[in-house]
Amino acid sequence: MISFNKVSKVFPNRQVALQQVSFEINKGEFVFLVGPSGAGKTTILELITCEEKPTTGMVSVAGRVVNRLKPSQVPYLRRNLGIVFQDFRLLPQKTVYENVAFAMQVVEAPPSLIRRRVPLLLELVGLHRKANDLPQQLSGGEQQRTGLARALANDPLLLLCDEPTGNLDPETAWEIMNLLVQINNSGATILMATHAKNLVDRMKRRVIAIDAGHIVRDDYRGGYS
Amino acid sequence: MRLQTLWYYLLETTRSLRRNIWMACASIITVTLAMLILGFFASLLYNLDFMATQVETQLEVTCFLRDYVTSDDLRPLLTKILDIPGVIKADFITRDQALERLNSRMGGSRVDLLTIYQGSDNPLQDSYVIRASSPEIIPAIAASLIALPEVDDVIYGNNFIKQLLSFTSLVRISGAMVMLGLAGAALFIVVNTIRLTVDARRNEINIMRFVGATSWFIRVPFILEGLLLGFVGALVAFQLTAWLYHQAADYIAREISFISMAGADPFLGTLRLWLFAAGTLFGILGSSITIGRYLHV
Repeated sequence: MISFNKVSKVFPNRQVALQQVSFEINKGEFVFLVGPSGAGKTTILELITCEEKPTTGMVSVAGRVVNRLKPSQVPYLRRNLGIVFQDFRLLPQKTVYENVAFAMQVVEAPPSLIRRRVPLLLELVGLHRKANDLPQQLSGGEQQRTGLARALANDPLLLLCDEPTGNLDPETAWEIMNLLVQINNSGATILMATHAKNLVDRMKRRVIAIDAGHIVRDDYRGGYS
Repeated sequence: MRLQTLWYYLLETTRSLRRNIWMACASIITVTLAMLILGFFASLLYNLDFMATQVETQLEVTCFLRDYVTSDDLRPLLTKILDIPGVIKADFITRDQALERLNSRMGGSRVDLLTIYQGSDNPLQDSYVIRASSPEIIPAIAASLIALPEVDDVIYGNNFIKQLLSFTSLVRISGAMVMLGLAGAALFIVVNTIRLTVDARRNEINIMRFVGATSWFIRVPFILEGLLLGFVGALVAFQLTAWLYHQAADYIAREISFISMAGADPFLGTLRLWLFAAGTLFGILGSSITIGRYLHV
């Protein structure tokens, strides 16, 4: 699903974000990406979403080599990805339903499909009763569940989560983790960048640890440290 | 394109305009002003060209006689004039007749010239109005006339046309300069209006990018917004120009009888197309500049 082959990334200000990073993530895996702030986790996610291009090496996502993608092809790659953000990034003037439907509208999904799929997604994340609420009427956990439903709207092959529990209390964080496990069990690949030690330790999933742009550990069924 | 996509574009465009209604109004007013000036200069140039054509088609040369020429000198002078190649007719106009003509041409004015310049106070000269066989021969006729000792001065259309053409080019240059300045101002305002929309929708645009909206899907509402601002500006400018043109034509016909303006048709029809094209182009250009500088999709 994801392949990094000797990938380095140096930003224009000469800051080295990644050095010779190589790893592979297979379809259906649930992988934690851990490491201190500034270690290179976000750069890895940005390379996967084509926000950035590698300086050297090769990045391949869902069978496409990212290095060779033309700008016009990037949106079509992104339709295979669902992204969950730490700060939720919901549109405040849209309801829960509209926030999820929006992700489908902008890729020109047929209205009949939107009408069918959005209620199913809201049911999956347990928000079918709050479909008409605005984000500011929701708790943090509910907002993140809305974000999760939006990330799943276009049936992505890969779910990228950037600190999805960072703004949530431990109990709500577990709710979100349970949902992610459920989504993973239904076949989606999940890559989650996190600082949440207790979650990583209890989940016993694959852990890729990164520090100063290098992969320092890649453990199957590992812990945070 | 799907119907729902078209609907989405229209909805987003009107929503943006509503959100920044005052900036949108400022954009429309600036575009209107630029288009109005364009319409004014276009009307002026069209009428100057019209006047030049009118004068060109007149085949008359007027020669003014020296004061010492008496009625006895007129017959031999007429023979000399009619002997000039290309002259087909020569009519003598006394200075009193000339004053009467001038007075009737300025018929609408409040001053009666006849009472002011009676008898020896009349500043006009006796003259011959000569009809030429073709416009090309007029300069040669004029040269022959000025060589006659009884003739003080000769006027004919070409001199006027030359002056008219130099005035026309002056109008053209000054018009282009004013237009350039106004075009810059209009673009600046349109760019900033669209920029406000981009800023207001930054979160939305980010989400659109992450879920895989194409760059054109993101751009189109902004381009439509610019296009609409330019189009409405041009529409208002055209209506104003057309109204002013009719008003000016009516006024000139009523008050200045010796000048007539070119007819509104087909000029205003062509002007409408040009203004609409220029206005929408302004709008599209303004939004494209904003997209290029601030949108990054």
